Amino acid sequence: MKTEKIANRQFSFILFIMRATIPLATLPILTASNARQDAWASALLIFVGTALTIFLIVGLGARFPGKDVVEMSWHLLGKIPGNIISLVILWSFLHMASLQVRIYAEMIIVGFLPETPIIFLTASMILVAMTAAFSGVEVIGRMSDLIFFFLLVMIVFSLGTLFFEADFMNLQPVLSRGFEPVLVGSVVPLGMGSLLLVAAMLIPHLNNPERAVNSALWAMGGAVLVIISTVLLVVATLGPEEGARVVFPFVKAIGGIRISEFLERVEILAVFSWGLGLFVGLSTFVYCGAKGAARVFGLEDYRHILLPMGVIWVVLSIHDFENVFEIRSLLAPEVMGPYGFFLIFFPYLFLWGGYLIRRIEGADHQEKEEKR
Amino acid sequence: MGLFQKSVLLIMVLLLFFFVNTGCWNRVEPEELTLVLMMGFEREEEKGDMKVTVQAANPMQRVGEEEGGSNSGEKSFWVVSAAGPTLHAALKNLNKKSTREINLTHVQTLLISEEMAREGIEPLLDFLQRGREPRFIIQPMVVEGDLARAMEGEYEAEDIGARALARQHQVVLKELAATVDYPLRIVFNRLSQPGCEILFPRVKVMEIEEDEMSRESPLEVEGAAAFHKGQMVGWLNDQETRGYNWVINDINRPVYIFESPASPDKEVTVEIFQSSSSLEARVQGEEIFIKVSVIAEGRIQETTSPEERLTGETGTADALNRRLAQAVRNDIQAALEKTQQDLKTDIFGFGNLIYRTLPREWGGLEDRWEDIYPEIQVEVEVKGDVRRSGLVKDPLEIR
Repeated sequence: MKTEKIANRQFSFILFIMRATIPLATLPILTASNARQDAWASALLIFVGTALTIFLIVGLGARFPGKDVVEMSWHLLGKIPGNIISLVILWSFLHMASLQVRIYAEMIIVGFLPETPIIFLTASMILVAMTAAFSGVEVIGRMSDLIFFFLLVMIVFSLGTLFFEADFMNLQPVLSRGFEPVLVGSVVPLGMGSLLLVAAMLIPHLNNPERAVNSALWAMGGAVLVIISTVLLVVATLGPEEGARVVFPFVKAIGGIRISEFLERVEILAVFSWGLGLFVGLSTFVYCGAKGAARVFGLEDYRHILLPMGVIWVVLSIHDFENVFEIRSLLAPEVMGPYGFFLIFFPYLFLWGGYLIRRIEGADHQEKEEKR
Repeated sequence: MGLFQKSVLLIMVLLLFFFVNTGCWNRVEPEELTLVLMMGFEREEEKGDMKVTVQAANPMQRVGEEEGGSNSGEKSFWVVSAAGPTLHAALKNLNKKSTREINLTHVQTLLISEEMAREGIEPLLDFLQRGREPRFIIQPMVVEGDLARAMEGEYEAEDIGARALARQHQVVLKELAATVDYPLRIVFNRLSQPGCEILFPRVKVMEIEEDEMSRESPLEVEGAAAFHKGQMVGWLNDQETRGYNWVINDINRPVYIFESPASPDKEVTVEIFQSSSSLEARVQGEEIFIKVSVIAEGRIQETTSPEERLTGETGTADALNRRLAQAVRNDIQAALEKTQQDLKTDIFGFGNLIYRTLPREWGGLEDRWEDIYPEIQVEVEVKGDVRRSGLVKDPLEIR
């Protein structure tokens, strides 16, 4: 079977959209931390942390350009340990996707459609994402091309509307409580950074896998820029304490301003761009999850297991959390931090370990070729 | 599948969307809603329950107008009230009296009775924030007088009282600076931050006698209600409110009238067009100094003195500037005196200024701030600048 290819640009867009959607939603950097007006500083830390994660994940992937993470783990660790490692990564796809779709559905229910059954919302989101995944990664790539510009325009416009009502005095005092809250504030978004594991599945599909690290860094740079400007403007409009207290700060901030007598309630922009971004994110998660699972279980085509996986996904999105309070506890730094770090570091410690041992032994075929 | 079948399928799917698009579980037809434009909160007298009064648009009247039908003397809004132990319960009880579902998404103004404001607005706040319908752009105001009459207020030139009041508030703010701009977004922000208090605009219910031709508007927006820890502690009149607006740099176009430098018994009217102000805090041991620097740029809009000849050489312009500065300073001093000596509430947010700019010093002051605030030394520096004189150079001299 011919490998589907996407451009590195599309790869960047996908990662950017996935990462930039989270601050538009719950803005965990503000709501899940104590950093308050200094949350922008946490965002800078996030850039550093995510860059490291990229070197960890994409850096290794780029050394095996033809292999996705499952094949790579077989290659480096052997079949059975490789499968165990892969299952951890596949679990992170499953859980991240169900978490994100659940949060989106919660927002729709809390803010707009209070009586709609939640399963209807999550199931329809996942169904659409499955359709995209069924069409393959090329379609997801092209979709991200399209959605990226919509998203960009909407983000710029909604941030622009906030700008005129913003009072930047709310950002003072700067770093008055030291760096500890700032550090803690970056934990949850960094834990959510486990979504970068999708890159490990996408690398073999890139036109130019050697430059994957570069593309991923560009994507994260852009996403961190969105996070910083969002958090600055939300704090400047709602105030530091209020911004941290509300559940969906960005939506609340946009809903709380009035551009003129005739133009208000533009929060639809935030909700819409969040939905579009989530769509790209979910499609990628579904695709990577199904592809990886098919690989682990030795199936020819991932499309056969899309539907059963989708069902598991929907069930998980409902049964992961009994209520909103449980989502809140999951997104606390002391839970999400270790969990996310485990998802990233556990597999990659072994993979890098395997890689380095092989390198020292000099048994790696590619390594020899490089030396020649 | 051929192209034809494909396009037929596509069209059918598109048509299907028409049915789905209207929504499913939360389909709400606009005809089935009561769009509330203004809410009023007060205490019910007998049981001490929350009493909610709402003013909603009357859809029947609107239809009549659009069709060019004669105005049957019906109001284009209607007012209804209900009580309950909590605000949400009271709102639910409104449904007993309404034929349509009560919807709060279009509320612009929130009126609070003076009694309720003095008792404390804390019980109202959670409702305004937690629900999905009330939004952060709502402007709360405190009513001096009977809340029910304020809710019923009818304006001559506007069909809906709530709209009229919202516009009136904007106009008073812009043209006179005699009220404050405090939507819920800012209210919540200030209440959640250390060292600042809030103000709500004041709405006065005017006494209009029934039999005479009315030249009064039923409500007047003027001045502000000052709060301390969520409880109203007193009123600011329009001069003090203007002073407050100067300090926080939210001034628009107030007018100042003072003695003409050329002929002392005549008056000059100057309207402010541009202004800016800045605050600076300094802490020296136990002494706290706040410096308020204001620049007021104005234009002469009227003078009753024929001797007012403004050229670069004469000292008249300087004298005008000095007088303008003094007039502005008087406003600011009035506001400071009222809040420092009388109400003892830090509406300017001087405490917040120290917290923001001198966070280390604030740690030691925070607990005692209530006692410290009345003792703060505030230095007011105003620079008046009269720049333009309208469309004539000199006043008319009648010969």
